[in-house]
Amino acid sequence: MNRSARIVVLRLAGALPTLLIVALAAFALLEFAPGDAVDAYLAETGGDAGYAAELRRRLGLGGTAWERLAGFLLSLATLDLGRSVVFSRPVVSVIAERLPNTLLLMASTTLFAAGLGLLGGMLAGARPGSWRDRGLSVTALAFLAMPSFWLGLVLVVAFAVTWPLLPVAGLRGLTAPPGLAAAVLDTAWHLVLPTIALGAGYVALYLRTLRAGMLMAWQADHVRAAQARGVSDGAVLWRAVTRPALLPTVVIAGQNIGTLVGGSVVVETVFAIPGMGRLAYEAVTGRDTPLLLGVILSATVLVLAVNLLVDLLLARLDPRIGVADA
Amino acid sequence: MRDDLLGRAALTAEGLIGLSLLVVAAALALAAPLLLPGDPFDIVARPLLRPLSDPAHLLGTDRLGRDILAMIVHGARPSLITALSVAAVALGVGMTAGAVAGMLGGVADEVIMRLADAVQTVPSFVVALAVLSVLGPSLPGLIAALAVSAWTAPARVVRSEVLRLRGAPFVESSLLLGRGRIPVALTVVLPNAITVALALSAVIVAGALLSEAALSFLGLGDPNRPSWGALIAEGRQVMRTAPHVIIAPGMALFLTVLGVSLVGEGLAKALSKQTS
Repeated sequence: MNRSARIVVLRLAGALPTLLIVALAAFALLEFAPGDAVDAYLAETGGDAGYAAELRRRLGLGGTAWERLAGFLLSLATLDLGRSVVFSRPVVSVIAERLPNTLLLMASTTLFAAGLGLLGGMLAGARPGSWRDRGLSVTALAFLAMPSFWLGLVLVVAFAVTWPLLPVAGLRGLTAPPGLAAAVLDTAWHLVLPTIALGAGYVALYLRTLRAGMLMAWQADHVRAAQARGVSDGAVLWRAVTRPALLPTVVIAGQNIGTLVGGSVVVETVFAIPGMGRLAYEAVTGRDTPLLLGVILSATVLVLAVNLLVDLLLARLDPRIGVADA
Repeated sequence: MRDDLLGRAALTAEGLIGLSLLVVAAALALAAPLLLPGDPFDIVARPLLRPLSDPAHLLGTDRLGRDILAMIVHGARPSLITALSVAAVALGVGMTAGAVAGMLGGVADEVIMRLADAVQTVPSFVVALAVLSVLGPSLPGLIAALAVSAWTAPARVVRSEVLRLRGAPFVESSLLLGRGRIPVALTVVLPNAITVALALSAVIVAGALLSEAALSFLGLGDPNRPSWGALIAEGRQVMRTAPHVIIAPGMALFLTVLGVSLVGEGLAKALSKQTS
């Protein structure tokens, strides 16, 4: 078995207990939440207590907690997440509709944060302790302390009232010109402000991670040896200091997918983006427990999937990974 | 040794600035009823007064004519109490779990760390939403909702520290005296692992402050207390014409979180000097 395939198998095996624990917690949430799917359904259609009991029996919601748990796990295994109360549709179809927008926001945020953060990190880490380094590090700390929803609102005020330059709501304009290229450009234009609001903190994270890695690298023996051999400053900075310090930033990208999903809840709310984050909020305010569980479970699968991709990427970048247990 | 660490952290530039920001925030939170007596939700003046236009209402008023400064100052206490409680619960639970896992090993270790894996996989903000939807909006509910995910980082750090210390002579001798592994983990090993967890506390407090504000912003905070997040949410309706309504509470939140992060930075610096 080659290295990538082995990593995939190992990771999937490791993900099973995680998924089981999350599913059990989700079931507990379903049990503790007031009302069940039948109550929600009858609120839509109306019906008496006898009909409710009949429905519960048919949907597997009667019986003991163990029987309900078995039914719940069985329907999860067949990717049936139940019916959304708010949307009166299967949860899976609602999530499938919202997920692409959130993935788009997450991708643009990661690109923006990694691009700007790594550039800043390299400028700071090239000369640790300099004024440039100090200024960048303090700026990074300020970015980390800034609440994304507040930054979003300030950007809305700035770019909708003071300088009306950029769109501040949704992902598509009402009067978008026809054509694919125009549509892509229109969406990209709409993504600018949400990306900055969500990404500011991550810019700081990438900056700090790269800088810390470079700080360590400057003290490494191979860097001193290269300097002593008379390797040019630029070559030392890039090949010996920056490149090895880039590896941990890939790990950071994987570790922060979860917080990115969390952050998208408020940012999508501020910028009226119909994505999965706002769906979580809509599920809570609508007391839509099946929908909330669906969002939690799909967010978990999303995090696991991205981490698998990050592991594969790391294995490509670092030949040492995954060799030990060959 | 630990007091010394705190002292040296305060002596770094970051620590000093951060500490001064926090002292101001804490003083305002504690002295709120003395400085600005009365109910902060009282309507005291014309709506949407600009900041600095009336010396009695330095930061102006919101769309109902309530004093913004009073609401910010009174809102500091619930924010700080929530964040500090989350950190206390997360550190207490996480350090205990990490010490037990590291000291016992085997099945206990496996169970605790698998649980931590699962908790770290689910986006913590979504977990908080779910917990609040069951418990309802209240201060204890908010603390529980945020602590549920926050214990894993201290658990991991303390576990690896315990694994490092497990074979040390002073730990072995305590075990040889016939004391159980869990009491030794909690009374002998844990105190030596506290400093590494201490540096984490700033990250947890800062994260809890931001999450609490975001949850209140979404209307899931305690509706009976003024809170920075809820103030910003209310200001949304008028922010296009009166931006000070959202800028002032946001700045309060920003400066407090910045203070916490700077203190954490100072702690980390002092810690790295100590270990090197």
